[in-house]
Amino acid sequence: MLLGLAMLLAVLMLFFHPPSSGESPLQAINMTEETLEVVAPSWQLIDGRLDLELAGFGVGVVTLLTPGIDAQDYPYLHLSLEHPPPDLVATMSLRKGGKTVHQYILEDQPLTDLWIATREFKGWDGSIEAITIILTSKEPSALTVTDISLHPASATLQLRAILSDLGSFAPWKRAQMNTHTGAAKVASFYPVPLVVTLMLLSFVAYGVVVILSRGRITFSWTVPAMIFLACWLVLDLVWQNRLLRQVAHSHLTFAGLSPEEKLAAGPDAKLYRSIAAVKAHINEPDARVMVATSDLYAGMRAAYFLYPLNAYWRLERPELPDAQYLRKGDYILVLSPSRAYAHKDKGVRLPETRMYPAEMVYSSLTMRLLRLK
Amino acid sequence: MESVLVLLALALPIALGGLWLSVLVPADTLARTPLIWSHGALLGLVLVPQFLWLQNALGLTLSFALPALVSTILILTASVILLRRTPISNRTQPALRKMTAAQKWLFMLLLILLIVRLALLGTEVFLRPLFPWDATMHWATKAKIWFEYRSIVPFTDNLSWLQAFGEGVFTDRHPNYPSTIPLLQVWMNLAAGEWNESLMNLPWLVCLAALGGAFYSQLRIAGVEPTLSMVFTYFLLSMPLINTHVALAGYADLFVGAAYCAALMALHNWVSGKQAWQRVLLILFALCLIRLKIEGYLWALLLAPGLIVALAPKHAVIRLAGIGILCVIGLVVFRQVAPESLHPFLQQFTPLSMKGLMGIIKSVFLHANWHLFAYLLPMVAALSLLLPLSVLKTYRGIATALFASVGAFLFLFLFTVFSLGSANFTGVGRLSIQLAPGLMFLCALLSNAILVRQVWPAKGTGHR
Repeated sequence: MLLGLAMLLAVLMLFFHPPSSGESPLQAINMTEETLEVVAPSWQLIDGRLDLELAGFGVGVVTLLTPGIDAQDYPYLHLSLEHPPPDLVATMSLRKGGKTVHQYILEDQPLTDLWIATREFKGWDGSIEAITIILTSKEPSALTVTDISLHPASATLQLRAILSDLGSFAPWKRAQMNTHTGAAKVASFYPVPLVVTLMLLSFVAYGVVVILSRGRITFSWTVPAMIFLACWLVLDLVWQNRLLRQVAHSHLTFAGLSPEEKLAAGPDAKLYRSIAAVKAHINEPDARVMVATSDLYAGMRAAYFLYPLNAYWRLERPELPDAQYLRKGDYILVLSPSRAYAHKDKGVRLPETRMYPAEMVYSSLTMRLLRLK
Repeated sequence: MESVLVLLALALPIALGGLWLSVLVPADTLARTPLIWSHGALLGLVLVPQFLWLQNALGLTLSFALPALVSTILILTASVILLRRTPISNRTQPALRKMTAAQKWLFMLLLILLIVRLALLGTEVFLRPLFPWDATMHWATKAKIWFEYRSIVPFTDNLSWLQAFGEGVFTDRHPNYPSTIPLLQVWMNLAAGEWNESLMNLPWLVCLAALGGAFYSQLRIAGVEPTLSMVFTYFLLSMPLINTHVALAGYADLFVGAAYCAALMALHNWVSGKQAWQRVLLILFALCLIRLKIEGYLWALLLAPGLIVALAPKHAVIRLAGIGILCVIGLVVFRQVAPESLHPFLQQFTPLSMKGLMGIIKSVFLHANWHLFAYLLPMVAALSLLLPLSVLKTYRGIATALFASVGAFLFLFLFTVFSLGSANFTGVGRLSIQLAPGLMFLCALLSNAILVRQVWPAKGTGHR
C-alpha cells in the first residue's frame, strides 16, 4: 500500500499539477501592512498575526490586496484563524477590474486551518486585485487571523489542499438525504475516485512485487482483500471525522433544549417562530389554513409547523385554491415570496383571480394572515 | 418517568420480536443470539405500530398503555414457553475460538468502530429536531396529527380535501403511504407524553443496529467465518447514506432496506439450509415490506422470481419467461378492456434517459454514498465467474431476486419520468438504500467463496 501511495502521489504531481504562467520563482503573498485592508472596530497586525474584534453585529472584513497577480500563478489559498466563535461564517469574494465578483460562503468549520485549491473558485482567472473575507458571527467577539496567504504551486501544498478537503466539515444540508458527495464545495477531488486510484495502484504494486519475487511470494487473495479494507477504512475515517464534528456542532446548538426550544434554535428557527406568532392569532383548533407561497420549502415547512391546525399546502401551482373551495372563516397565510397579493382592507388575490374578501389578522415582514369574510 | 417510558417504548418491540423468535429458532442455531434479537427488533418495530392501528380500528383512543399491555402479555407468553423448555447449556462458538490473534484484533477493531458510530449517530438523533424534507412533507405530518388527535384521522389528496372542505380530513403530499412509520413515531411520542421530534426518531438507530446484527448472524449461518462476517457488517453499517438516514431520521427507506435485506437473507438461507423458521422469517419480512412503503410491494413481489429459480431450478427459465409473457398478455388485454386506466401508467415511460444514466453513475461511482461498494460489487461479480458452477448455483435464488430488483430500479431511472430523480440525485440515492443491504449480502457470500477457495491462480498458501 505504501508503494501504491507513492505511485498515487506521483500521478497527482504528474497529471494534476496546477498550471502556472511560467514566471518563477514566485513568492507567497502574506498579510503585511501593505497588503492588508481591515474594516473592524479594532484590529492590530503584530508579527503577521491579525487580532480582530468583530463589530456590533459580529462582522469584520479583511482584504488581502493582490494587485496585478496572475490567478493561475497562485493555485492555493491558506486561511487560518485562532479562537473563532463557533457560529463564525466566512464569505469570500474576489475583486477583478475594480469590481467585487463571485462570492463564496466557505462551508468548512471551524476555520482554523484551511487550504483551498483556488482553481475551484469560479472566476479564478486573469488578474486578481484583492481577496476579501467577510467574517460574521451572531454576537460581537474577538479572534485572531493567523494567516491569509496565497501560494504558488507546489507538491506539498497540493497534498495539503487534498488533506484539508478530506478533513473539512460542513453542517448537514437538506440534499444530503439524497446524496453525499463527500467533497466540499471547493474541493479539488472527490474522495472516492482518489481512494479508488490508491487502491488500484496498490493492487498493481502488489502484482509487481509478486512477479518480481520470482516465486518467493505467491499470490494470495487475502492481500488485495486487506488493501481493499484499508482503503475503505480511509474513506470511513474521513466520514467518521465529519460525523464527530457534526455531533459537536449539534451539541453546541441543541444540547439542553426542550423539544420546542430545539425547533426555535434549529435550521428553520425563523420560520418556526413566525408560524408560532401566526398560530397565536388563530383561535379555532380545527381552523383551515391555506399556505400561499412560491417558496416550496418554506411552504411545506410552514404547513408542517401549522399542524395540528388543518393546513393546506400544494406543491404545484396555483398557490391558492379555486374560489369554489374557499369559504368564510378560512385562513390564508401569504408567505413571502408569493404571487398572492394581500391588502389589509380588501382581501387577497392571485394575479389571475378576483379579490377574495378577507380581513388581515396578522402581518409581519415576511407573512400576512388573512381571514376570509 | 419520561425517560423510562421512552426506553420501554424501545425495549418492548425488541423483547416482543426477540422472545418470539427465540421460541421459533432452534437452540443449536449458529449466531443465535444476534439472530433472534436483531431480527426480533426489526419485526417488533413494524409490529407495534400495527397494534396502534388495530386499537384505532376498534374505535379506541390511541394510547401507550394498551399496546404496551398487549406486548407485555405476548412477551410473558413467549417467556413461559421458553421456560418450559429444557434448558440447553450455552455452547461456545467453536469458530470464534478458532480465530487467529490477527483475526480477533481485526474483529474487535471493527466492532469498536461500529459501536463508536452507533454512539455518534445516537447522539445526533437524540439532539436534533426533525430535519429532512420528506419527513415533514408526508411522514411526520400524519404522526403529528394522529398524536394530537389520538386517532388515525384520514389523510386525503389536495383535491379531495378541498372538495370535503377539510371536514374530518387532513391533507399532505402523499396521503396514501402506509401508516407504519408515522405510527412508530406516534408510539414514541405517546411514551414521551409530548410531541418530541428527537426521541421519536430513536427507532431508526435501533433499526440500523438490528440490520447489522441480522446481517452478521445470517452471514454466519451461511457459512461465512466470523471475521469476514464482521468485515462485511462493518462495510454495510459504515455506508454514509445509510448513516445519514439515521442521523437525520424520518424517512422509511432504511426500514425498507432492512426488511428487504432480511427477507433476501432468509430466502437464501432457507433455500440452502431448509430450516422452516427461515421460511417464516421470509414471509414475515415480505409482509413488513408491504406495510412500510409503496416500493415495498414491488420488492416483496420481486422475491418471487428468486424463489422460483431456487426451488424449481428445472425449467426455471421457461417458467420465468412464461410469467413474463403472461404479464405482457395481461397488459395487452387490460389495454383493450380499459385503455383509459392504463393511459396514465403508459405516460410515465420515456426513451432511455442519458441524464438519468449519468445521475446513476455519478451517484454510485463518484459520490461517497456507498464508500467503495460500487467498486467492490463488480469486482466480486467478475471474480465469482471463476468459481465452479456447482458453487455458483447456490446463489441463484438470491441473485435472481436481486437481479429483478436492480432491473426494476434501472428501468425506473432510465426509462420513466422518474429519471429526473436520478439526474438531480433526489431519488436515486434513497432508492439505493433499499437495495444496498441485500446487494451487500450477496457480495459477502461471493467474496467468502472467492477467499475460501482462492479461485485463482490455484489454491494459494499466502506468503511463504
